[in-house]
Amino acid sequence: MKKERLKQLLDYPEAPDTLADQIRSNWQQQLGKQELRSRYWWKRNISLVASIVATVALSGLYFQTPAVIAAAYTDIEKDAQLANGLSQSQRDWFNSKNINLPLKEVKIEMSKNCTLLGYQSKHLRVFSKEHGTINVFFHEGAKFFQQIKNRGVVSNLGWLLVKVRENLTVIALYPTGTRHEDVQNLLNTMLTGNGEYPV
Amino acid sequence: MPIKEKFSNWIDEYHRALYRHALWMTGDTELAADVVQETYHLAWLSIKTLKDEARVFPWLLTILRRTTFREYKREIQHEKLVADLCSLHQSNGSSSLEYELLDLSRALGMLSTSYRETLLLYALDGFSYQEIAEQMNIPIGTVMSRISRARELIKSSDESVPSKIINFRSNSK
Repeated sequence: MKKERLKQLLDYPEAPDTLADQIRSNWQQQLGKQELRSRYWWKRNISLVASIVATVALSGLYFQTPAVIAAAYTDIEKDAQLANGLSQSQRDWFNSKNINLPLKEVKIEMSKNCTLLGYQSKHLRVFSKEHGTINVFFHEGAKFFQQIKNRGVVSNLGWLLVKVRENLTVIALYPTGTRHEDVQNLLNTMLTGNGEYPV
Repeated sequence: MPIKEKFSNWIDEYHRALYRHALWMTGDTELAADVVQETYHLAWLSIKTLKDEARVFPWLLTILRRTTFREYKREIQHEKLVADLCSLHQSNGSSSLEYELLDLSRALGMLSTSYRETLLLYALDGFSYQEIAEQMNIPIGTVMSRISRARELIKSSDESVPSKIINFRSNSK
């Protein structure tokens, strides 16, 4: 059989007249179901989407340096040259808050009021031969200080953020060569006089 | 042109060719129609896998071949097939045409599925050896030998038409 004849015979069968309409009808139904599925997808998966969004948001909180730490770092740089020691008014404030001052071997280089993210705070810079310069910020009140992450590194400084009690949060920034346990010990010395330091 | 509009056009453009391919593979008019419908259903589901719209027919044919693979082993009822074909054409068909179709159906039925597939891609769908080799993922030499042997078999069945005419006539009664 010649190829042309073979082709003619193979081409002989005609598809039923209704086949195209049947295919199109099935397809329209398929499209309708797909549209319905996508319409209800959000309703069915809203909790899944919400949990993913929450996870991403919390991850952001965890991995990002808190804004208050960045603000404290800026304040440290701004007052790097200030060396006013500890004034009587500052000493009175610490006494009124039952916060002990550091041991004698730790020198208080500077103390001042400052503003972190619009909130009034106390900024204390101390120096010890063993641990280098440590900046400590005391803050009363602001809830934004409560972070998931409470320790990290910003630029060349390590930082600790400790919520001491309901209305007192302490931030310490210290040289990255200093162990955070040593910084915590220093804070202990200052804050455990009345048993309030949580560590 | 939006993809839905294109797909709708592809239904009109290719459903007949797909139907013929499915028919000669399955030997069953109803089954062939089902297979073509199923092919378009699967094609729309996997429309994103279509890389080149210029090659939509080979793509549809690949889906059809996979869809109908399980049906290839069915026993073909050649006489019923030819009778169905003629009734679809709403004509009695000339006797010689019926005999030729019957011979062809029987010859195709004697071919293994891989040989039948290769021959149809070549003689019915008009693909080149190279395109068939790519479609079936086999060497081009294998394509050529399959087509050659398949055509020899059809040719030899051609030469024994008289006995088949008798068989057809006796079965038709």
